[in-house]
Amino acid sequence: MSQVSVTSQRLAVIDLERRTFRVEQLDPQLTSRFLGGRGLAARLLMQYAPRGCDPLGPENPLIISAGLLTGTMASASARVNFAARSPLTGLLGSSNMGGGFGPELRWAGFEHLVIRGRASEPLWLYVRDGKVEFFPAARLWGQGVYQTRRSLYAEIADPRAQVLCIGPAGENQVRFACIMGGIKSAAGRTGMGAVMGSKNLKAIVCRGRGDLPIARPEKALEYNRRVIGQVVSSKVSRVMQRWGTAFIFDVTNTTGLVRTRNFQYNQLPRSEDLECEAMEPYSQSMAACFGCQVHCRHRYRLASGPYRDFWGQGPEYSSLGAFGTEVGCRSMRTVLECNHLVNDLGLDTIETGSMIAWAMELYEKGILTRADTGGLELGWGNDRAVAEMIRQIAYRRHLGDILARGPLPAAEAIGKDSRRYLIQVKGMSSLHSDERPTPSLALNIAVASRGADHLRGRPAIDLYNLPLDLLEKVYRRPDGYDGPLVNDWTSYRGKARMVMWQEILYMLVDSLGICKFHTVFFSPNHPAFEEFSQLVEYNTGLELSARQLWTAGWRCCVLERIYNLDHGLARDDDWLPDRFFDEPTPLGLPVARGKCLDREKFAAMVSEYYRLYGLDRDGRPSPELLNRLGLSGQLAGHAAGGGQ
Amino acid sequence: MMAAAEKKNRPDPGRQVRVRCLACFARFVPSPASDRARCPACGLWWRLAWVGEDFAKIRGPVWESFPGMEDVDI
Repeated sequence: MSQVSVTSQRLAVIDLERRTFRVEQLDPQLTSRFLGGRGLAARLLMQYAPRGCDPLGPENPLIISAGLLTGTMASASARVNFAARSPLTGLLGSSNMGGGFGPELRWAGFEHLVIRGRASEPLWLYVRDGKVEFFPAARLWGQGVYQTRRSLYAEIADPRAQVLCIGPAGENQVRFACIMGGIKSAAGRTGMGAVMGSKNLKAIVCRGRGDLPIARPEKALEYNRRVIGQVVSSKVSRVMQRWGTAFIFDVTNTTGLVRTRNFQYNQLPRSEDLECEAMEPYSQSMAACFGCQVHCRHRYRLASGPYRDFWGQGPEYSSLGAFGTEVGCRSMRTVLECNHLVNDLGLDTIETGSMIAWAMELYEKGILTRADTGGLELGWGNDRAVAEMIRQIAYRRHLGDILARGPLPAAEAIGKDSRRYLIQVKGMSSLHSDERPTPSLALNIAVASRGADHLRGRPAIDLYNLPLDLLEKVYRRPDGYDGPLVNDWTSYRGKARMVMWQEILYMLVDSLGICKFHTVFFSPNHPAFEEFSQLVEYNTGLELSARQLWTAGWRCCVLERIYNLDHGLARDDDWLPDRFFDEPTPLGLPVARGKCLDREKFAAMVSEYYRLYGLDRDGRPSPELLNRLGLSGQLAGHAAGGGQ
Repeated sequence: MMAAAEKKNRPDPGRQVRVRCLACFARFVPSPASDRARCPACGLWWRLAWVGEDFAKIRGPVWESFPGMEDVDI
C-alpha cells in the first residue's frame, strides 16, 4: 500500500443496505479549521445527518473519526471519536475512545468512516488496507463483547487486528449502549452502541499495513520525549501509574464530593474497600492505550465467579461511583464484577449506575415496588440486585426495559414524582461526582455539549487550591484573557473562564486524538496549547500557532452548540436539576458540608460563560461570532438534504 | 531538555516527604512508612498510602475521628 499524507482526511462512506462503500478525500482546508477527531466529526455530522433524523433510523449516520495526531509519534495519540444523533438525548451524540482502533484505522487507509443505512441482516465489517468488506454476523448476534471478540479473532487469525463491537445492550438498542474497542476501551456515552445496533452492525474489524509519514521525525521524536517527561514525572501521573483514575476516589470521597445513594448524601463513610488501594489484591499489572507511557488501567482477574476465565481492565473512577457509592455498595469485588458485566454486555458504566441508583431511590420512596422490579429487592447496598439490574437493562426485562430508555423517557413512563429524583442534564446522567459545593464543576456539567459530562470541560485543577499565579499561567493563555480568576473552589467568580478554557482544550485534544491525561486535566504542569502547536507542526508539518489551535477548538465547540440548537437546545437546558439548589450536602469536610448552589449566582455564571463565548443571552451564537469563526450559514437547517 | 515539572517531581529518595491536609491544605511531614498521620494545623487524623519511598498521599480519613460522623448511619 502506498504512503499517504499525515494530514489527509480519507473518508469511507459505507452503505450497509447495498453493502457498498466509496472513498472520498475531504477538502484539505477542513483540517486546519476542524483538525480531525471530535471536531471534524461534528462537521461531518452536520453534513451527513438529516436535521431531526430518527436517532435509531437508517438515516442517522454513525461517524467514526481518528484525530489529526492519532497514530503518530505524539504521545498517547490513540483516540478515536464516534458521532451520530444521540438516541439518549436527541442532541449531539459524541463519544471518544482510546485503545488501539484509532491508529489502526489510519494505517488501514482511513481517517473517517461514515456508516449509513441499515443492513437487512446482522453484519460485521472488515476494514483493511483501503477496502471495506462485508460479512454475515448472525452467529455473533446475541453474544457478549468478550465472546464476540474471541470469535472474531479466531476467524481472522490476526492478533494485531483491532475489533470494535457491541454487546446485547447495543443489539437491544438500550439508549445508553456503548461501542467496545477492547475489553475495557469504550465509546461509552450518548448511546453510540444503540445506533450501531439499529444498523444491524455487530462489529468492525480493522487492520492496516499503511504508514503515516511524519513531517519532521527527528524533531517529533525529540519533542515528544520532552512531553513524555513532562507528563510521566508529574505527581498525578505517578499515582495513576500505580492505581489508575481510581485514585480520585480517595480525595473526593474524603472531601464530600461523591454522589451517594443517588443524590441523598455526598460521601460514603467507612468505604475503605472502594479506595484505590483496595485494588491491589486483584491487580496483576497496569496496561495502556497505544503510545501511552502512563499505563492508567489495572489488568485484573477474579478467582471465582462467571468471569474467572476473563481478564478485566479498570476499574475507572466512574465505576467506583456507579457500582459503589451511588448504589450504596462498599465492595471492590462488586465493582469489579459489575465492571465485567457492563463491559461484556456493552453498557455505559456511568448511565447504568445512575439509572440503577435512581431506581433505588424510587424504590425507597415507594414509587417503585417489587411488582415493578421482577421481584428484585432494590435496596441500597444490595450487591446482587445491582448486578441483576444490569442484566435486566441489557436484555430489557422487567424494570430494566424502562430504565433502558434513558432518564427522561423512563421518568415519563414511571410517572408520579420520579423525575424530581433524576440527576441528569439534557437527558444524560452525570458522573457520580457531587457538584453542589463546587460551582465551576457544576457549570461544567450544566453546559457540556452532550449532557451532564465531566469530560467536556471539567476544570479539575480548581479543586487543588493552587496558587493564583499558577492558575493565571494556565488560564490566561493563549488569548491573553484579563478577566477575573479565583483560586477558591467554592467561589462563583472567574469560573466561567475556567470552564470555557477547559472546553476548548478538551475539544482540541479530542480533535487531535490525544488522551486528556496528557493535558491540563489533573495537572497544571501538563501540556496545553503551546505544546500541542509544536506536536502538530513536527508530526504533520502544519504550522498552527497556539492561538490558532485555540480558535479551532472554539470553532468546534460552537459548531457542536449549533448542532444542539438545531435540535431544540434552549437556555433552560444549560441548567441543573432542582436538587442541586434545594438540598444542601449533609456530609463531608467543613468546606463541602451544608452546600448547595445559589440559583442567581449560578445563572450569572451561565450568562458569563455565554458572554465569553460570544453567545447571546439565550446561548445562541451571534452573527459576529459566526462570521469570526467562519461558521456563517451553519445555524438552522444544516443538512436538510441528508448529505451527499 | 527537562521540563520544570519533570525536575520538580522526579523521584528523589532523599527528599523530605510532605503531604497536604485535605481539610485545611496545610502541608506536613509524616513519619516514614507510617500508615497514619495527624495534621498539626487542624488536628485531623489521616490514613496514608505510599506511592514510593519519596511520595506519600492521603488515602482517607480515620473515620472514627472525622467530624460530624456521630449520627451518620448509612
